[in-house]
Amino acid sequence: MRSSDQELSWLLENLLQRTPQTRYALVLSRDGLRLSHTAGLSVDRADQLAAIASGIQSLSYGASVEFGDGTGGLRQSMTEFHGGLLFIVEAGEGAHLAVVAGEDADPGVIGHNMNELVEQIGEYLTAPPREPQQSSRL
Amino acid sequence: MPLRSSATTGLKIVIVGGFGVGKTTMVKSVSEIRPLSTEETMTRAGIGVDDAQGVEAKSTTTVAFDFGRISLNDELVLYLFGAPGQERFWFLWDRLFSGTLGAVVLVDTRRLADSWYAIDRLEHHGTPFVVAHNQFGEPTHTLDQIRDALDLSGDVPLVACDARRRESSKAVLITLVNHLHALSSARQVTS
Ligand SMILES: Nc1nc2c(ncn2[C@@H]2O[C@H](COP(=O)(O)OP(=O)(O)O)[C@@H](O)[C@H]2O)c(=O)[nH]1
Ligand SMILES: [Mg+2]
Repeated sequence: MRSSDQELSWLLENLLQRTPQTRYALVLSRDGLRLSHTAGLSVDRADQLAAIASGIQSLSYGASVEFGDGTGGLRQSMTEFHGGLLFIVEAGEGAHLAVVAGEDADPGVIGHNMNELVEQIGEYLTAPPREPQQSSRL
Repeated sequence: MPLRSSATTGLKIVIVGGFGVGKTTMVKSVSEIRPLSTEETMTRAGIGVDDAQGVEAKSTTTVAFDFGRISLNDELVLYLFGAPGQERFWFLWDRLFSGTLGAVVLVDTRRLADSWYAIDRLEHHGTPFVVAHNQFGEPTHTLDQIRDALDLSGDVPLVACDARRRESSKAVLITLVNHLHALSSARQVTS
Protein backbone atom coordinates (compact mmCIF):
# COMPACT_ATOMS: atom_id res chain seq x y z
CA MET A 1 0.00 0.00 0.00
CA ARG A 2 1.61 3.21 -1.13
CA SER A 3 -0.65 5.59 0.74
CA SER A 4 0.37 5.61 4.37
CA ASP A 5 -1.90 3.79 6.78
CA GLN A 6 -2.66 6.99 8.59
CA GLU A 7 -3.74 8.79 5.46
CA LEU A 8 -5.95 5.90 4.56
CA SER A 9 -7.70 5.75 7.91
CA TRP A 10 -8.21 9.48 7.67
CA LEU A 11 -9.91 9.03 4.29
CA LEU A 12 -12.10 6.28 5.73
CA GLU A 13 -13.12 8.46 8.70
CA ASN A 14 -13.86 11.22 6.24
CA LEU A 15 -16.10 8.88 4.24
CA LEU A 16 -18.12 8.19 7.40
CA GLN A 17 -18.35 11.87 8.25
CA ARG A 18 -19.79 12.89 4.92
CA THR A 19 -22.16 9.92 4.64
CA PRO A 20 -25.12 10.08 7.04
CA GLN A 21 -25.88 7.04 9.19
CA THR A 22 -22.66 5.18 8.43
CA ARG A 23 -20.92 3.48 11.35
CA TYR A 24 -17.76 1.74 10.20
CA ALA A 25 -15.58 1.55 7.14
CA LEU A 26 -13.02 -1.16 6.42
CA VAL A 27 -10.62 -2.02 3.64
CA LEU A 28 -9.97 -5.75 3.37
CA SER A 29 -8.02 -8.11 1.16
CA ARG A 30 -9.97 -10.48 -1.06
CA ASP A 31 -8.81 -13.43 1.03
CA GLY A 32 -10.52 -11.94 4.08
CA LEU A 33 -7.94 -10.00 6.07
CA ARG A 34 -8.24 -6.52 7.49
CA LEU A 35 -6.05 -3.86 5.88
CA SER A 36 -7.33 -0.60 7.36
CA HIS A 37 -10.42 0.52 9.25
CA THR A 38 -12.07 3.36 11.10
CA ALA A 39 -11.42 3.86 14.81
CA GLY A 40 -14.92 2.87 15.95
CA LEU A 41 -14.27 -0.71 14.95
CA SER A 42 -12.16 -2.75 17.35
CA VAL A 43 -9.46 -4.94 15.85
CA ASP A 44 -11.44 -8.10 16.67
CA ARG A 45 -14.57 -6.77 15.01
CA ALA A 46 -12.55 -5.57 12.02
CA ASP A 47 -11.13 -9.09 11.61
CA GLN A 48 -14.66 -10.48 11.76
CA LEU A 49 -16.03 -8.02 9.23
CA ALA A 50 -13.12 -8.68 6.86
CA ALA A 51 -13.82 -12.44 6.84
CA ILE A 52 -17.58 -11.91 6.38
CA ALA A 53 -17.18 -9.35 3.60
CA SER A 54 -14.74 -11.49 1.61
CA GLY A 55 -17.16 -14.42 1.77
CA ILE A 56 -20.10 -12.32 0.61
CA GLN A 57 -18.10 -10.85 -2.28
CA SER A 58 -16.93 -14.26 -3.37
CA LEU A 59 -20.46 -15.69 -3.35
CA SER A 60 -21.62 -12.62 -5.28
CA TYR A 61 -19.01 -13.32 -7.95
CA GLY A 62 -20.42 -16.83 -8.15
CA ALA A 63 -23.93 -15.41 -8.63
CA SER A 64 -22.65 -13.09 -11.32
CA VAL A 65 -20.83 -15.85 -13.20
CA GLU A 66 -23.82 -18.20 -13.11
CA PHE A 67 -26.66 -15.73 -13.54
CA GLY A 68 -25.14 -12.50 -14.88
CA ASP A 69 -23.57 -11.84 -18.25
CA GLY A 70 -20.87 -14.39 -17.54
CA THR A 71 -18.03 -11.96 -16.99
CA GLY A 72 -18.22 -12.27 -13.21
CA GLY A 73 -18.37 -8.48 -12.99
CA LEU A 74 -19.73 -7.10 -9.74
CA ARG A 75 -21.01 -3.64 -8.93
CA GLN A 76 -21.63 -3.96 -5.25
CA SER A 77 -22.98 -6.33 -2.63
CA MET A 78 -25.51 -5.08 -0.16
CA THR A 79 -27.08 -6.84 2.79
CA GLU A 80 -29.92 -5.44 4.87
CA PHE A 81 -30.19 -7.02 8.28
CA HIS A 82 -32.18 -6.09 11.36
CA GLY A 83 -30.41 -3.09 12.75
CA GLY A 84 -28.19 -2.18 9.84
CA LEU A 85 -26.86 -2.37 6.32
CA LEU A 86 -23.62 -3.73 4.93
CA PHE A 87 -22.18 -2.47 1.64
CA ILE A 88 -19.17 -3.87 -0.16
CA VAL A 89 -17.53 -2.63 -3.35
CA GLU A 90 -14.34 -3.60 -5.12
CA ALA A 91 -11.47 -1.29 -4.31
CA GLY A 92 -8.05 -1.60 -5.94
CA GLU A 93 -6.47 -4.85 -7.10
CA GLY A 94 -7.15 -7.61 -4.58
CA ALA A 95 -9.03 -5.41 -2.11
CA HIS A 96 -12.60 -4.53 -1.13
CA LEU A 97 -14.12 -1.60 0.72
CA ALA A 98 -16.90 -2.37 3.23
CA VAL A 99 -19.21 0.03 5.07
CA VAL A 100 -21.67 -0.73 7.87
CA ALA A 101 -24.54 1.75 8.23
CA GLY A 102 -27.72 2.16 10.24
CA GLU A 103 -31.06 0.82 9.06
CA ASP A 104 -32.31 4.17 7.83
CA ALA A 105 -29.27 5.02 5.74
CA ASP A 106 -29.74 5.92 2.08
CA PRO A 107 -28.23 3.10 -0.01
CA GLY A 108 -27.86 5.34 -3.05
CA VAL A 109 -25.76 7.87 -1.18
CA ILE A 110 -23.61 5.24 0.47
CA GLY A 111 -22.91 3.44 -2.80
CA HIS A 112 -22.16 6.70 -4.53
CA ASN A 113 -19.75 7.90 -1.86
CA MET A 114 -17.97 4.55 -1.64
CA ASN A 115 -17.46 4.42 -5.39
CA GLU A 116 -16.26 8.01 -5.37
CA LEU A 117 -13.61 7.15 -2.79
CA VAL A 118 -12.51 4.12 -4.78
CA GLU A 119 -12.21 6.24 -7.92
CA GLN A 120 -10.05 8.72 -6.05
CA ILE A 121 -7.72 6.36 -4.28
CA GLY A 122 -8.52 2.86 -5.52
CA GLU A 123 -5.02 2.43 -6.84
CA TYR A 124 -3.76 2.71 -3.27
CA LEU A 125 -6.28 0.24 -1.86
CA THR A 126 -4.55 -2.90 -2.99
CA ALA A 127 -3.54 -6.28 -1.60
CA PRO A 128 -1.05 -7.84 -4.02
CA PRO A 129 -0.95 -11.62 -4.44
CA ARG A 130 1.56 -13.57 -2.44
CA GLU A 131 4.66 -14.60 -4.35
CA PRO A 132 4.47 -18.21 -5.49
CA GLN A 133 6.38 -20.51 -3.14
CA GLN A 134 6.26 -17.84 -0.45
CA SER A 135 5.69 -19.61 2.82
CA SER A 136 4.72 -18.06 6.09
CA ARG A 137 7.40 -16.71 8.36
CA LEU A 138 6.04 -18.58 11.34
CA MET B 1 -33.71 -47.99 6.06
CA PRO B 2 -33.77 -44.23 6.51
CA LEU B 3 -31.31 -43.74 3.65
CA ARG B 4 -33.69 -45.40 1.21
CA SER B 5 -36.89 -43.73 2.32
CA SER B 6 -37.43 -42.17 -1.11
CA ALA B 7 -36.40 -42.83 -4.69
CA THR B 8 -33.81 -40.12 -4.55
CA THR B 9 -32.23 -39.44 -1.23
CA GLY B 10 -30.13 -36.32 -0.86
CA LEU B 11 -27.56 -36.31 1.90
CA LYS B 12 -25.81 -33.16 3.00
CA ILE B 13 -22.17 -33.85 3.70
CA VAL B 14 -19.51 -31.43 4.90
CA ILE B 15 -15.81 -31.71 4.25
CA VAL B 16 -13.71 -30.14 6.97
CA GLY B 17 -10.10 -29.92 8.09
CA GLY B 18 -7.28 -27.43 8.36
CA PHE B 19 -6.00 -24.91 5.86
CA GLY B 20 -4.53 -26.45 2.69
CA VAL B 21 -5.39 -30.04 3.52
CA GLY B 22 -7.24 -30.62 0.22
CA LYS B 23 -10.93 -29.91 0.92
CA THR B 24 -11.50 -27.79 -2.18
CA THR B 25 -9.49 -30.27 -4.25
CA MET B 26 -11.74 -33.11 -3.09
CA VAL B 27 -15.03 -31.32 -3.87
CA LYS B 28 -13.70 -30.38 -7.32
CA SER B 29 -12.44 -33.85 -8.11
CA VAL B 30 -15.70 -35.68 -7.33
CA SER B 31 -18.39 -33.19 -8.28
CA GLU B 32 -20.54 -34.06 -11.27
CA ILE B 33 -21.79 -30.47 -11.58
CA ARG B 34 -19.62 -27.41 -11.99
CA PRO B 35 -18.55 -26.86 -8.40
CA LEU B 36 -19.30 -23.55 -6.75
CA SER B 37 -15.96 -22.04 -6.11
CA THR B 38 -15.23 -19.29 -3.64
CA GLU B 39 -11.49 -19.42 -4.13
CA GLU B 40 -9.72 -16.13 -3.75
CA THR B 41 -6.11 -15.32 -4.47
CA MET B 42 -4.03 -15.39 -1.32
CA THR B 43 -2.70 -11.89 -0.75
CA ARG B 44 0.36 -10.61 1.03
CA ALA B 45 -1.93 -9.60 3.90
CA GLY B 46 -2.05 -13.30 4.79
CA ILE B 47 1.69 -13.85 5.17
CA GLY B 48 2.22 -14.98 8.73
CA VAL B 49 -1.51 -15.67 9.14
CA ASP B 50 -2.26 -18.38 6.59
CA ASP B 51 0.51 -20.92 6.93
CA ALA B 52 1.13 -22.55 3.55
CA GLN B 53 4.04 -24.63 4.76
CA GLY B 54 4.06 -27.93 2.91
CA VAL B 55 1.62 -26.66 0.28
CA GLU B 56 3.76 -23.82 -1.09
CA ALA B 57 2.13 -24.17 -4.53
CA LYS B 58 -1.23 -23.20 -3.06
CA SER B 59 -2.17 -19.77 -4.41
CA THR B 60 -5.86 -19.50 -3.56
CA THR B 61 -7.97 -20.04 -0.47
CA THR B 62 -11.67 -20.68 0.18
CA VAL B 63 -13.44 -17.68 1.71
CA ALA B 64 -17.03 -18.97 1.89
CA PHE B 65 -17.52 -22.64 1.02
CA ASP B 66 -17.13 -25.15 -1.78
CA PHE B 67 -20.23 -26.80 -3.14
CA GLY B 68 -20.53 -29.83 -5.38
CA ARG B 69 -22.79 -32.81 -5.97
CA ILE B 70 -22.24 -36.49 -6.67
CA SER B 71 -24.73 -39.31 -7.30
CA LEU B 72 -23.43 -42.53 -5.81
CA ASN B 73 -26.20 -44.53 -7.48
CA ASP B 74 -29.74 -43.99 -8.78
CA GLU B 75 -31.06 -43.38 -5.30
CA LEU B 76 -28.34 -41.64 -3.43
CA VAL B 77 -27.14 -38.11 -4.09
CA LEU B 78 -24.58 -36.40 -1.93
CA TYR B 79 -24.51 -32.64 -1.59
CA LEU B 80 -21.00 -31.69 -0.66
CA PHE B 81 -20.08 -28.58 1.26
CA GLY B 82 -16.41 -27.85 1.76
CA ALA B 83 -15.78 -25.63 4.75
CA PRO B 84 -13.17 -22.86 4.82
CA GLY B 85 -10.23 -23.91 6.98
CA GLN B 86 -8.85 -20.83 8.67
CA GLU B 87 -9.96 -19.66 12.07
CA ARG B 88 -11.34 -16.37 10.72
CA PHE B 89 -13.99 -18.34 8.83
CA TRP B 90 -15.01 -20.72 11.62
CA PHE B 91 -18.09 -18.61 12.32
CA LEU B 92 -19.53 -20.09 9.11
CA TRP B 93 -19.29 -23.66 10.33
CA ASP B 94 -22.42 -23.71 12.50
CA ARG B 95 -24.58 -22.79 9.54
CA LEU B 96 -22.80 -25.26 7.30
CA PHE B 97 -23.23 -28.03 9.85
CA SER B 98 -26.97 -27.55 10.24
CA GLY B 99 -28.82 -30.34 8.47
CA THR B 100 -25.59 -32.21 7.88
CA LEU B 101 -25.85 -35.98 8.11
CA GLY B 102 -22.17 -36.75 8.03
CA ALA B 103 -18.73 -35.30 7.57
CA VAL B 104 -15.34 -36.10 6.13
CA VAL B 105 -12.37 -34.80 8.13
CA LEU B 106 -9.33 -34.48 5.90
CA VAL B 107 -5.93 -34.66 7.59
CA ASP B 108 -2.39 -33.95 6.47
CA THR B 109 0.18 -35.74 8.63
CA ARG B 110 2.57 -32.80 8.41
CA ARG B 111 0.01 -30.70 10.24
CA LEU B 112 -2.17 -33.06 12.21
CA ALA B 113 -2.96 -30.53 14.92
CA ASP B 114 -4.90 -28.49 12.36
CA SER B 115 -7.60 -31.17 12.35
CA TRP B 116 -8.28 -31.24 16.09
CA TYR B 117 -10.61 -28.32 15.94
CA ALA B 118 -12.75 -29.94 13.23
CA ILE B 119 -12.98 -33.22 15.13
CA ASP B 120 -13.93 -31.40 18.35
CA ARG B 121 -16.65 -29.45 16.61
CA LEU B 122 -18.13 -32.55 14.96
CA GLU B 123 -18.11 -34.47 18.23
CA HIS B 124 -19.76 -31.52 19.92
CA HIS B 125 -22.46 -31.34 17.23
CA GLY B 126 -22.92 -35.11 17.37
CA THR B 127 -22.30 -35.32 13.62
CA PRO B 128 -20.97 -38.72 12.49
CA PHE B 129 -17.72 -38.54 10.54
CA VAL B 130 -14.93 -40.47 8.91
CA VAL B 131 -11.31 -39.35 8.77
CA ALA B 132 -9.38 -39.41 5.49
CA HIS B 133 -5.61 -39.06 5.33
CA ASN B 134 -4.89 -37.01 2.19
CA GLN B 135 -1.50 -38.31 1.11
CA PHE B 136 1.00 -35.79 -0.14
CA GLY B 137 3.90 -37.85 -1.46
CA GLU B 138 5.13 -41.02 0.21
CA PRO B 139 3.17 -41.97 3.30
CA THR B 140 5.29 -41.43 6.38
CA HIS B 141 2.78 -42.68 8.93
CA THR B 142 0.59 -45.75 9.16
CA LEU B 143 -3.12 -45.34 9.68
CA ASP B 144 -2.71 -46.81 13.17
CA GLN B 145 -0.17 -44.14 14.04
CA ILE B 146 -2.55 -41.46 12.78
CA ARG B 147 -5.41 -42.96 14.76
CA ASP B 148 -3.28 -42.83 17.91
CA ALA B 149 -2.08 -39.29 17.26
CA LEU B 150 -5.65 -38.09 16.73
CA ASP B 151 -6.90 -40.12 19.69
CA LEU B 152 -9.69 -41.47 17.46
CA SER B 153 -11.99 -44.08 18.88
CA GLY B 154 -11.96 -47.45 17.14
CA ASP B 155 -15.40 -47.04 15.62
CA VAL B 156 -14.49 -43.97 13.55
CA PRO B 157 -13.43 -45.16 10.07
CA LEU B 158 -9.99 -43.93 8.98
CA VAL B 159 -8.85 -44.29 5.36
CA ALA B 160 -6.11 -42.97 3.09
CA CYS B 161 -6.88 -41.03 -0.07
CA ASP B 162 -5.58 -38.79 -2.82
CA ALA B 163 -8.02 -35.88 -2.94
CA ARG B 164 -6.98 -35.07 -6.51
CA ARG B 165 -8.32 -38.38 -7.79
CA ARG B 166 -12.02 -38.77 -8.37
CA GLU B 167 -12.17 -42.49 -7.62
CA SER B 168 -10.17 -42.07 -4.45
CA SER B 169 -12.35 -39.22 -3.19
CA LYS B 170 -15.46 -41.16 -4.11
CA ALA B 171 -14.21 -44.13 -2.09
CA VAL B 172 -13.95 -41.86 0.96
CA LEU B 173 -17.56 -40.75 0.48
CA ILE B 174 -18.70 -44.35 0.14
CA THR B 175 -16.90 -45.16 3.40
CA LEU B 176 -18.86 -42.34 5.02
CA VAL B 177 -22.20 -43.49 3.62
CA ASN B 178 -21.53 -47.05 4.79
CA HIS B 179 -20.62 -45.71 8.22
CA LEU B 180 -23.89 -43.74 8.37
CA HIS B 181 -25.76 -46.87 7.33
CA ALA B 182 -24.08 -48.94 10.01
CA LEU B 183 -24.87 -46.33 12.65
CA SER B 184 -28.54 -46.11 11.67
CA SER B 185 -28.88 -49.91 11.54
CA ALA B 186 -27.30 -50.18 14.99
CA ARG B 187 -29.76 -47.59 16.27
CA GLN B 188 -32.69 -49.56 14.86
CA VAL B 189 -31.49 -52.74 16.52
CA THR B 190 -31.20 -51.12 19.92
CA SER B 191 -34.51 -49.24 19.75
N1 LIG C 1 0.52 -33.62 -3.75
C1 LIG C 1 -0.76 -33.40 -3.45
N2 LIG C 1 -1.21 -32.13 -3.48
C2 LIG C 1 -2.51 -31.90 -3.16
C3 LIG C 1 -3.38 -32.94 -2.79
N3 LIG C 1 -4.58 -32.42 -2.48
C4 LIG C 1 -4.46 -31.09 -2.65
N4 LIG C 1 -3.23 -30.78 -3.09
C5 LIG C 1 -2.71 -29.45 -3.34
O1 LIG C 1 -2.62 -28.85 -2.07
C6 LIG C 1 -3.09 -27.52 -2.09
C7 LIG C 1 -4.21 -27.29 -1.10
O2 LIG C 1 -5.42 -27.81 -1.56
P1 LIG C 1 -6.86 -27.15 -1.28
O3 LIG C 1 -7.82 -28.12 -1.85
O4 LIG C 1 -6.94 -25.75 -1.77
O5 LIG C 1 -6.95 -27.13 0.30
P2 LIG C 1 -8.12 -26.63 1.28
O6 LIG C 1 -7.60 -25.40 1.95
O7 LIG C 1 -8.29 -27.76 2.25
O8 LIG C 1 -9.35 -26.39 0.46
C8 LIG C 1 -3.46 -27.24 -3.54
O9 LIG C 1 -2.37 -26.57 -4.13
C9 LIG C 1 -3.65 -28.61 -4.15
O10 LIG C 1 -3.32 -28.65 -5.53
C10 LIG C 1 -2.87 -34.28 -2.78
O11 LIG C 1 -3.56 -35.23 -2.50
N5 LIG C 1 -1.55 -34.45 -3.12
MG1 LIG D 1 -10.45 -24.70 0.28
